[in-house]
Amino acid sequence: MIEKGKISSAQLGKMIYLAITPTAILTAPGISFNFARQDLWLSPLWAICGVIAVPLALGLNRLYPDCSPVQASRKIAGRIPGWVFAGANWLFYLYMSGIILREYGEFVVGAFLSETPLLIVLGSLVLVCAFAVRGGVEIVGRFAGLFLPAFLTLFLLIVLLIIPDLQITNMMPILPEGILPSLKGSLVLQIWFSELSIAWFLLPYVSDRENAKKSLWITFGGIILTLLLSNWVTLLLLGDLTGGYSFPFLILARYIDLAEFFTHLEALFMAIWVLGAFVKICVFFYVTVTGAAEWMGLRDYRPIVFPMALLLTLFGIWIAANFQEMTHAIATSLIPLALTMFILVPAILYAIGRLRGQGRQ
Amino acid sequence: MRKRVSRERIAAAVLTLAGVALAAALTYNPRLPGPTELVDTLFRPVTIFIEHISAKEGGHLS
Repeated sequence: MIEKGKISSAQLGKMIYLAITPTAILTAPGISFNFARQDLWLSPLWAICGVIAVPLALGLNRLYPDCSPVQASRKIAGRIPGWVFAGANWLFYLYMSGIILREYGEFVVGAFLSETPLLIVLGSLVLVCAFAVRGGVEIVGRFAGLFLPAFLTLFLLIVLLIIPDLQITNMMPILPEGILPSLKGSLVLQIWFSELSIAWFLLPYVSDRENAKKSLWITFGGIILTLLLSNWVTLLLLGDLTGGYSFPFLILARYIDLAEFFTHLEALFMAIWVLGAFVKICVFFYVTVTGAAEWMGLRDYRPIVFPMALLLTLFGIWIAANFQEMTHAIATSLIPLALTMFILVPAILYAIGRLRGQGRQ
Repeated sequence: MRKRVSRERIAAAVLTLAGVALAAALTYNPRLPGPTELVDTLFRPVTIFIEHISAKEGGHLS
């Protein structure tokens, strides 16, 4: 393996939690609403892809416990298919990192730093992430452990302070057309739930592997709860307007006005978002860089971190001409892509591995 | 050992050159078709289906 560092299963859970929730809180409610309407609050419960992704990542890791996915796929499917998979995989992760980066950039430029060029906002975050990724998986894991309490506290604080303004009538009528609209609304959420299979890339570095299963399921539950809560409060505050905002949760934070003392809390949300996006991009960028380095047969991934950071910044700009185009891509073509690369391809690899009788000692 | 080190240098150089080339291309033509268009073409039928069901429900997306 290319990485010598070790993380604990608790750090794994924290990394994955922060690698999924930040963008899900930010953009998902607005997109989901267009499918699910007032049943938006129910959508995160249909986490079908998460239920598949967690056992899949654990199962794939059980086939070759101490091999990175690049090595494992080569052993499972053979030299050339493994090479094709590993190549497609790091390009896919580069693309995903680019999308996440652009979401971060559009949010920061659109909501706060309206005079700053997008390139500067993207470039500065990528630079910080590149330093963290150069430090290795341990550093990224510790950042996740450090930021998770702050992330959760600020998130719950916003939810708590908005309670007086919530109107329960916004979720009425409950399920007027059955569960189908909420299922459709969960379609876009499957991108985030399928991201749980990123655990496969981190599991080889976990030192207490026996606790990893518990930690991943707790993380999965935590993600569902967070999304239920964020979708629910967004819907109860904004109602039919939810779909009209690019970042509904930001409007929520702006809306808070408690005794004319607690106001302008969007700064809190900005803090949540920057911390979360930092860890999220670090995790995805780390998987990209190590995947690419192993695919190229390098002994160390550090020399390509900064060249890859340059590519990632450019991808962040290349991905879409504007915010609307990117949201449209997330709501349409990214869904089948994510399901293919996060779920379908690993599932095929797992099936081949099992049929060949691998992973039994 | 020497050969290994040079392999990493080559990889870094190739990636940097790719980055510079992409940056130059994007400067000349910011609307250069990118990965999003590629993915869109690859999954065209599924994308149309998803657009279809979202249009029926909300119609804000396209």
